[in-house]
Amino acid sequence: MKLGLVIDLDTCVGCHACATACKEWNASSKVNGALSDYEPFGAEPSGVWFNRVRHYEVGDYPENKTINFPVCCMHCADADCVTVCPTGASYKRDDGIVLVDQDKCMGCNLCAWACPYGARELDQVPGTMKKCTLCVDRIYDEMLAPEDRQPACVLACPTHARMFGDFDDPQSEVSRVTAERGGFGLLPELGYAPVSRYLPPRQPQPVIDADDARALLERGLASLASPVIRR
Amino acid sequence: MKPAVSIIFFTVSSGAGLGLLALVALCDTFAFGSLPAHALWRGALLGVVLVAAGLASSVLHLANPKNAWRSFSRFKTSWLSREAVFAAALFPVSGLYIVLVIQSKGGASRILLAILTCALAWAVLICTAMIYASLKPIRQWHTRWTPVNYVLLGHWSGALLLWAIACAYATRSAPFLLVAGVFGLAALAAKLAYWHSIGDDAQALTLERAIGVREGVHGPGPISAAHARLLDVGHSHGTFLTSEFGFQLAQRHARGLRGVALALGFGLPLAWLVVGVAHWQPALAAAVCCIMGLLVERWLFFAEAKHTVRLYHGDPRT
Amino acid sequence: MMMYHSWDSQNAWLRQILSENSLYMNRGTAHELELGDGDWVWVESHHGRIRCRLKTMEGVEAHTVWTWNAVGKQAGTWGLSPDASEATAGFLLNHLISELLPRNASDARRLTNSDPVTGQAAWFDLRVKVSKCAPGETGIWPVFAAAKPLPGDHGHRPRVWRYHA
Repeated sequence: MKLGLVIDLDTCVGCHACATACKEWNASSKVNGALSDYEPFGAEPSGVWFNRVRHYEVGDYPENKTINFPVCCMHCADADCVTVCPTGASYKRDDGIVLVDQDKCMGCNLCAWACPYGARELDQVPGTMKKCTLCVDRIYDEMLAPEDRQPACVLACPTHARMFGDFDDPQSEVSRVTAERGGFGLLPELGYAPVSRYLPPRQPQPVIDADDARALLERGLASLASPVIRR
Repeated sequence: MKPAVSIIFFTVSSGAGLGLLALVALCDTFAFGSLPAHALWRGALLGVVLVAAGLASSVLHLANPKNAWRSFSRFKTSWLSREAVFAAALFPVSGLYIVLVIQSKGGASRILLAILTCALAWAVLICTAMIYASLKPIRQWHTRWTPVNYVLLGHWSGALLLWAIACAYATRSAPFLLVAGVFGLAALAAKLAYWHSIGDDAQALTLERAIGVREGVHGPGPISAAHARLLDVGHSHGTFLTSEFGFQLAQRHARGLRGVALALGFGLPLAWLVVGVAHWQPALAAAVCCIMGLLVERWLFFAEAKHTVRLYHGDPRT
Repeated sequence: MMMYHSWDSQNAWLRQILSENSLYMNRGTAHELELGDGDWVWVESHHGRIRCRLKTMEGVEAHTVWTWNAVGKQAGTWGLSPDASEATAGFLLNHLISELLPRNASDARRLTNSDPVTGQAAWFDLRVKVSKCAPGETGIWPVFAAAKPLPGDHGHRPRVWRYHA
């Protein structure tokens, strides 16, 4: 099993709903304990987040593009953060999820140094490293309806820009959409084999004439009327 | 990388202690320089104290030290674990060696303990250096020059301390002056080679690589060859990542500090050696001056290192 | 818009995402006006003027400027520390915008400057002049005296906040 996420850079609008939904879920999660916030009413508010949304611009006006870029743990197949950990707190499960055992971590920061994506953050209150758990306590929770057994960030995204699944299953949504859209991992040259994939922004299709415009409109209306609600 | 005082002190102090221990053990094994027993055990003890002080300092760097005992458990995969195991083994071995030297007991067991002490000291030096050198996201650390530098600098500072001990207790200190000089020149050459190699950023990762421009991001214009820039980092104030990895050192400050490191760490001590005054006070002063210079050098080793995550925060290249 | 709909909560998480704002301008236009990224600028309309920081970007129409409005707050309000960046580095466009439409020659009434159907603010047609501040003219303007704390509020705020469910 290789569980991971797909993030669609074409439809992400940079609203930060995924980032705050993650904080919200982990406020009740037993896996990591609550994520601390510091100076919440002061001059320098900061805190622990597992998912952060960054915003970039590519190219020069008017051929420019804004890319909204959520970054969280890639649950790498060859995760160096697990290799360097001296206490064994950092570990990779058989389903692919990389976790930090809060009872073993000594807060040496070496795993954070090993991660190129900045996926790990030290929580100063317990003095341990914390990171995305791929909502391991949601995805296996049989008290939840099947469609809710997905990471909080995936469920929160209003533009359906996040998907969750098993990359080892070629029929899973994440595998299919990665193949269709040319999904890519970040910085593969570092050798960590990141599992999560990013889908590139689509090429805009120019409208040639009125008939094409009408066809596009009818297709759009038909998809809105579709009874299949895709999460 | 944020220069952490506890880690800087740890690597410089332990490095000097490990270099001194290794050199004492080697000099004893090969009867180099005819150091008397009271010089040998004082040297070895100083080495052990420097290593212990360094390791104690490194524990201060931990945010949750009550789990530090677990750091011996991942010897197979983690350089930090290996360093912990070898350092732990070093204390009883070198302790026994010191006892034998104090009791002026010679023979096979002393030679064996001396060799083990030297081997363990080298192992700890290499493991400590590999903690840094093995980190692929930090270009300025991920080079063979990192372990080469760390081993040579440890022996250079250790050799100066050994020379001071020889000046105090040995009949002839000249052989130790020579050993120190050789290590000093080698360490200086390696340091300059390191700075030269990290100055070449042709292989540096870029913001475009970090977010996948070229393989993924296309647009109406030639975006696949275009440059990317940060629009908004996603938070108005600092985070753990900006605190740990966002340290910014101005070029002119870096140049000035490199000069200070070279002068204190190499220039002055080497000049002292050339003058060759064989009294232990100036020799010790030279060793202390070298260590001051190495504290600056180690500070720069951190301050000049640019972690890959900085690209996501808007740095154009590492 | 991370702040706009969190009024009354001063959400500790949304504050971390956005607690200050700058005026965004097209980089090419800024270059023509001899303005640079990070410059302090005066922004003037028919109704008023403000001082704030400029940020340049590609993805905005060449003659449009924008900001995340409603981030700027008077010092001491919203239960925040008086040195919160909402007060020191946040600003409001509101000072530039008249409540009323210009006087119409044929009608003595003054009409409200809002959408005629929904009544909400319709501010997208305001013309502004953006110019560089003189050296020494830095900081947000206008700035108002820090609000007095509410009765019973002794200013103690937690330094660490952990939401538990």
